Amino acid sequence: MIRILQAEIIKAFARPRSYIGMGSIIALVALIDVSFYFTGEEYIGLLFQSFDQVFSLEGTIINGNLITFIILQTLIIQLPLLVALVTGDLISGESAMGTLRYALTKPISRFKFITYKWITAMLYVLAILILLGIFAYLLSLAIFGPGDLLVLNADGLVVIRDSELFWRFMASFIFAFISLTTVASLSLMFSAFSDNSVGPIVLTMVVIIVFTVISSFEMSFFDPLMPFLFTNHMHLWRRLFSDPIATNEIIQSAGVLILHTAAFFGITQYHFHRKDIFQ
Amino acid sequence: MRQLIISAFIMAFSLHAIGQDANAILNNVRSKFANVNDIRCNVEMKFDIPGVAIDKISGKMIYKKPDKFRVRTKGLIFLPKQNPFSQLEILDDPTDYMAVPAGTAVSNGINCNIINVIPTNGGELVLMKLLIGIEDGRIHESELTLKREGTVQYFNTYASAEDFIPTIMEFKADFKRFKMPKAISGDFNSKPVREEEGQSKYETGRVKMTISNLELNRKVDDSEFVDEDS
Amino acid sequence: MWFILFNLSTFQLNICYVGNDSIMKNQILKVEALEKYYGDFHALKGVDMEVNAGEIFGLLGPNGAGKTTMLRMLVGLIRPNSGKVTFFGKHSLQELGKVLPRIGCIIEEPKFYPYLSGLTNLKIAGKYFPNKISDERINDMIELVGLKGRERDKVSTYSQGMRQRLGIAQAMLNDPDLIFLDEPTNGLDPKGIIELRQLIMRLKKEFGKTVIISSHILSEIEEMADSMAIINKGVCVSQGSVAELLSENIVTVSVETDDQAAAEVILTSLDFKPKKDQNALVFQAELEAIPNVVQKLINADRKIYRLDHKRKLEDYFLKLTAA
Repeated sequence: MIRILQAEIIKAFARPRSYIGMGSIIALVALIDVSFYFTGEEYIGLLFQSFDQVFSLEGTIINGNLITFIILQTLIIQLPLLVALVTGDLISGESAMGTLRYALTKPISRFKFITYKWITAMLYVLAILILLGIFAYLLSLAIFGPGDLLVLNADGLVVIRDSELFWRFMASFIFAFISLTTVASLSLMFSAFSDNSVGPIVLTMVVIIVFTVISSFEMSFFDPLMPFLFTNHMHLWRRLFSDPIATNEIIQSAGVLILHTAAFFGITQYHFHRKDIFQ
Repeated sequence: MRQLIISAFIMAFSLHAIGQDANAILNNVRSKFANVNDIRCNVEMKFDIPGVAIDKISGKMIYKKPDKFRVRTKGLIFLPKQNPFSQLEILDDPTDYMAVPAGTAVSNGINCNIINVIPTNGGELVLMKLLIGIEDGRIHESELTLKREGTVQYFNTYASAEDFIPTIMEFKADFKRFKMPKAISGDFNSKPVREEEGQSKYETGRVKMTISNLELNRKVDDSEFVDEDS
Repeated sequence: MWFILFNLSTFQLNICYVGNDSIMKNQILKVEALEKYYGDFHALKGVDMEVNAGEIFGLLGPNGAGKTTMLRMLVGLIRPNSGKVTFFGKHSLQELGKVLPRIGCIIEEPKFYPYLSGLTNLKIAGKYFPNKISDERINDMIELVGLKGRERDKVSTYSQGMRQRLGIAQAMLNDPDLIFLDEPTNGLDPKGIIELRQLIMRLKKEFGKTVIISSHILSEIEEMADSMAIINKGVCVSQGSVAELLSENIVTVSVETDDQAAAEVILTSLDFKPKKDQNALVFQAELEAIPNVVQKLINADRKIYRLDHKRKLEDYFLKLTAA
């Protein structure tokens, strides 16, 4: 079993495109770190204009924790796209390359084949998140130092004490893993339906962008749609930085995402099992 | 605001004699504060600000005349823009204001004289209303009307009869409700905040500072007020 | 053939009949009434086929006849709509999991991960088998297909011939009993074709492998195959040993003499139907009839400048597929 996984990992991680996402993360984190290092105060000042009249916020607002939070918040929209770039290609890429028919003429069931592809996708997601963790969290802490986190919500602010933050970040990375697993499963599903490598990636990106745009509309017209947009649940990691923590909401959203993942995985298996391989 | 000032002036002229009594009450307050050059103490801060979730925090508070004020904590805090000793700072020079008595009131169970302080130097302050204990001559409540920040209030509690510096200072102010577009905050899951008709855009926030280990006139150095990273 | 079997445990005497095929030949693959539809298009219309162990079996047919569809079905890439396939005398298509470890294949042009070396590609292929494929076996296969020295180069740098050989190596990794090669010489230069042909012959002779080759290049099959089947428009129009099928074959004879009119009269008298084709007379005849034709022309004092006949399989193939 491990040998098949090894094969899938070699195939996925030997491709140059697997490192585009990782490179982008490093570049984006570096950019955000540098920009906050030079113009962070200005940015924070703009955000707090309405509060500034009566209260002044004292302490080190710009610290490693805030930068990590901002990076997470910024990349949470981009990360799925970077993940889809690789996971959307795992099956269709092989189909387009013609290698799929060789893999499937080996003694491995299609169920196992898809399962190993799925595990590979999960490992890629994990690799991306570990990289993000190292660069966003550790690097930002190293540059800006620790401190309380100031979270800006649409309707208020939350200040979370430094001592509370490590486990919250760890939990948010776990939640991000669950979210990105859903995205990876979605793109893998599209990948199973397609024989070209671009289609599933583009389709995944379109779904995420459209859903996210609808999520960000503050119009009551879209309110009934919200619970059905899985991207809406992906943003629930922020509730780990609320006070009190919206545990039930987070568990519920994680559950919804896991259900989506299971559904996408099931559809992938069902379709791929019946699929004729022509390419 | 203008009407308030005009009426205050009218009151000031018509009650000139009583005003002399008011000056005496304020002189009493000022004289107690005159001996204080600096303050150093521990402070525990509790926040009750709508739309802001923040835990209480402990730290050190330092104050030095004429207007240096700083609270040092290990974390983030919300501080009133007007430092808690600003009422006393205003009283420091009697030529800068006019004192008008405005009757009596009870603050926190203590009978107080109400003194309106009207600045004459055209600064940020428009009007300061002080509730000064009839018996103890200490400020129990103050209300400052400021040009930019609007009205802010301080409620002082003293642990013992001898204390001149309050043990608990509670700051209260109205501020505009915090609101930020989802696209900027990134908070896509919050329920949309939709204001109902007639609902005020303002909310009241409170910061409570409990003081302990008070030290007076320990020659606090100016460098202690400077940011560590600046 | 009738057998009498005595069961020692039950003391029963059983008399049974076993088909000749199973006794005389070791049947490795049997296909019965295999059908496939692509929407309304009937790609395979009930194909029957039998392949014996240790032979090279040619699957012939024009482009689009259904050869690749058939091979893809046999290795599980495409699901048939109906029909029965029996591998190694016992396993059905539903038991491909048990069959595939004993099968190697190249379906159409061999494809590899171009960003990986030939060696890594083979290692990856090896990881899919239930039994570990040793490094030694991989090296042996690299040597067998003549890629020694280039195995660490990226596949993207390989020529078409090298990829084809690497394909054979990956098909041989698991030491299969049955090898499917779909158009194995496609895209190869003449030297590559000869080398590959020699390699396939070695697989049969030295390693005893059964090789099923699909091709539309008739000479390839004629030269290598022991048995063959011709598929046309989704139907198996002919099947048997190459020697048997071609022995009943009629060839096209082309003859040039000093007097074509006289020659035509002679040929007509022999019940042939000669037609003029430029300077030659062309007619259909059985191979055995040619010496008699030559004799008659010589007896009539005709000088024969040229007499040849077209390749037999080509004729046979064209005859079967023309309709």
